[in-house]
This record gives sequence, C-alpha cells and structure tokens, in this order.
Amino acid sequence: MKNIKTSFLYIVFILVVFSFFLLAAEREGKPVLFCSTTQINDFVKNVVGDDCIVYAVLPPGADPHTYQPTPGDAQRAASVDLCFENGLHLEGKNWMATLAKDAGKPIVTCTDGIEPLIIEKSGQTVPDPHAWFDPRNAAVYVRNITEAVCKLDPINKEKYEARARLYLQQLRNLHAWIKKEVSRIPPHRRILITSHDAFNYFGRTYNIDAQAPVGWSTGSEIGAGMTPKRRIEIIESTKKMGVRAFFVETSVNPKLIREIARETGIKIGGELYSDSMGEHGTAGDTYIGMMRENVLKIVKALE
Amino acid sequence: MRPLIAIFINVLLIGGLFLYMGIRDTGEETHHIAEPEKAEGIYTLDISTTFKISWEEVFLLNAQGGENAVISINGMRLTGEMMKSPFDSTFRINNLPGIIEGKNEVFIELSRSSEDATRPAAVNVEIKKDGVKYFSDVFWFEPEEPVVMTVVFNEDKAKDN
Repeated sequence: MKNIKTSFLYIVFILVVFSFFLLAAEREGKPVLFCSTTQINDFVKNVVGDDCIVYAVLPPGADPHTYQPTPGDAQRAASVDLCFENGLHLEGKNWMATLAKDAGKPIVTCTDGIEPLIIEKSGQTVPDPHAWFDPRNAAVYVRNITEAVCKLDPINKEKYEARARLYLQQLRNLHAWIKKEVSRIPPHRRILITSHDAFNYFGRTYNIDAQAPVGWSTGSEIGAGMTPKRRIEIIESTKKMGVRAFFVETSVNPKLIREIARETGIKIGGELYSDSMGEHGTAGDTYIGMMRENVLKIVKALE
Repeated sequence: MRPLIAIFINVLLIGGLFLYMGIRDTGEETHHIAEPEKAEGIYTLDISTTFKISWEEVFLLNAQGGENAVISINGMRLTGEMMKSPFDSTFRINNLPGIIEGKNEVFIELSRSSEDATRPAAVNVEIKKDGVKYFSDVFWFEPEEPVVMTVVFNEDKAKDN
C-alpha cells in the first residue's frame, strides 16, 4: 500500500514538473499580453507579431458592455505581464481594469489621447466608447500599444515600431478606401440605423447619419430601455426620414431591430460587426476585414 | 379523414405564416424617399496639385478601370468624357453635374507617382458658381498617404437670393 502511495505521489510530482516546463517552453521568455476586446487583440497582434504571447478576454461575438469575467480570466490576468483595455466604459463596470487591479498588473487604456464624442442619453452626457470605428482613432490605439510594448520589451523595440508603421499604412489605405466606397451613396440616403449606438464615430468620419433606437450600451437591447411611446416615435420618424435599411449587429440581440423593421416595412440591410469581430476564418476576423465587410454591406443597402 | 383535413389545414396555415414572414423580412421598403431638387446655376470644379497626376502602371492596377483620378458628386461617378481636361498638376471640370439643393458631397481621389509619393503633397479644390468663387479648401497629405478627399458643402435657396 505504501508503495502505491509513493508511486502516486511520484507521478504527480513528475506531472507538475513536466507542465511547468511545458508552460516555460510555450512562453520562451516572451512577454504575455492580455487584451479585453477582439479589436484590441488584433491591433496588439499586428504590432507584436510572434514576439509576444497574446490572449483576449472576449471571444468573437461576445458583448463587452455586459460581459462578466470568469475565474479563468482572473487566473490568466495573474500570469500576464501587461493588460490592455478600450476604456471610456466600453468594458461594462470597468471589468478589465478590475481584473488587472486585482492581479496587480499594469494596464494600458488604448483610447488615451482620443477626444471622445460626447453623446447625450436620458439627459446625461457620456463619452462614446466605440472610437475604433474611425480608422484614425484606430491609429491612436496602435500608437498607444506600440509605446507600451516598446517600454515592456525594449530589446524588440525596432521590430514593434516597424510592424506598427506597416499597420498604420494599412489603416490609412483603409480610411481612403472607405471614403471612396461611401462616396457612392448619395448624401441624402446616408442614414444608418443599427441596434445600438456604436456607429457615431463612423458616421461623423464618413458623413453618415448614424442612429440607434435604444442607446449606446447594449444592456437594454432586449427592451428594457424601450417604452411603447418611444417605439411608436421611432417607427414614425424612420418612415419620415426615408430610411432605406436597418442593420443588425453580430454582438447584439437583433430582436428589437427586426421587430421595428417588420413594423415599418423597411428591409434589413445586413449584419454588421460592431463591438466584436468575427469568428476565426470569417471575413470579419481582423479589424480591417471587419471594417471592409461592414462598408460593403452598408454601401450595397444604401446606394 | 378528419385528422387528415386538420393536418392539411394546419400545414397550410403555418406555411402561409412563414411565407408571409419571409416576404416581410426580405421585402423592399414600401415608402419612397423624396429626391432632392437640382440646384440652379453653373458650377465649375478646379483641382490644383503640388504633384503631377500620375499615369504610372502601379496606380492603374489599383484604380478601377485604369483611372488616375476618381471624382464623384453626390454618389454619381463622373465619366472619363467629363474629365477630359489636360491632366498635369491642374485640371478643371466645367458645368459640374448633380449639384442639389441641400447637402452636397464631392469625392476626389488622385494618383501620384512613386517618386512624388515620398514627399508631402497638397491639393487645392475650388468650386465656382456662375464664375464666382463659391468654395475653396486646401488638403494636405503625408508621404505615402492616399490622396483622397471629401468636400462637403450646403447649397440652399437663400444663397441664390
């Protein structure tokens, strides 16, 4: 019996040592980064390449406004070197900042330096957190990320900066391409109605009137923020405005917008990527891909 | 016999309901957007650049239909025939079509040679109405930045009076 117990303990010991070496081999001394959203994850990967290990809290399609961190997230936060968040309260109840604080890890707010759009909701003014919908703001995210990883890992600074330059050029090209595509829509038809107010930056940048029936957060998307009176107002105003299409979002329950579309007789123009990018292997699995897909759908429905 | 009739009626009702929902989901909008009125007057567009507008192959590969300049007014792409002014560092389009009362947008995309693209550039866009300067703006571009710009201006009846 004693021999069996000793053997068991010996096997457990070997397994623990083996897993430790496996973990160390995976890290290879590379810095480990932890990002809140799929967009930030993509920006970070474009800057750090294979020189860091990057994890994202949110899987594709998850909603950052309503996400509840899991014990697994807290465990991971404890093992990383640096955390990244969007900020401007995109992460509902600041869950990413809380994860980093509890784990005692530094955190970078990617929207630092961006002048936020101020939107008014229910008599209160709040900064709009969906800043990445303007590729020029995305460039600010990339600069903040580059600065932070260069400080964390100065040995690879040149590589990070070179990758960032390349990616910033891609963002410039994306911005120019979107301008060109949107120019195909006559200005009086540029009304973009989506499930929640995620497209204000996009609308401001490309001269599109972006509106949402509910508000800037998805917390009330299934009806909590929608009174019957407000619903009638929305139906009447969309008819008067000459809206050509409604759009649903991949990370938001489409029930409400589909109901309003049915009641108004206005078509659904497609499903847009908003707070989250697409699954791996879809056209929207990168920031640039997601923006391109959105623009193609919007132009097709409104032109 | 009765159960069969009941099943038939149920299938008919459910099928009809789904068909109706499908039509409503994919149907075109039932109301029409009032098209804005065309603005009066003759508009001219002048574009001056600090670089020679390029005919280089590398740019032609990127541009749709081999264009080295793309100009759209309110969603309407100008054809090559309209832009047959001599392309160099300045060109003019007389009698600009498609200007409406209300919000107008002119989109301009130009190509520059790979040599010019290494330097900063500027583009002056001027719109004249009946020969009088109506709108003017200068756009600056960094090296390698795509030369793409959007000019937005409002044309309302009050301006004609």
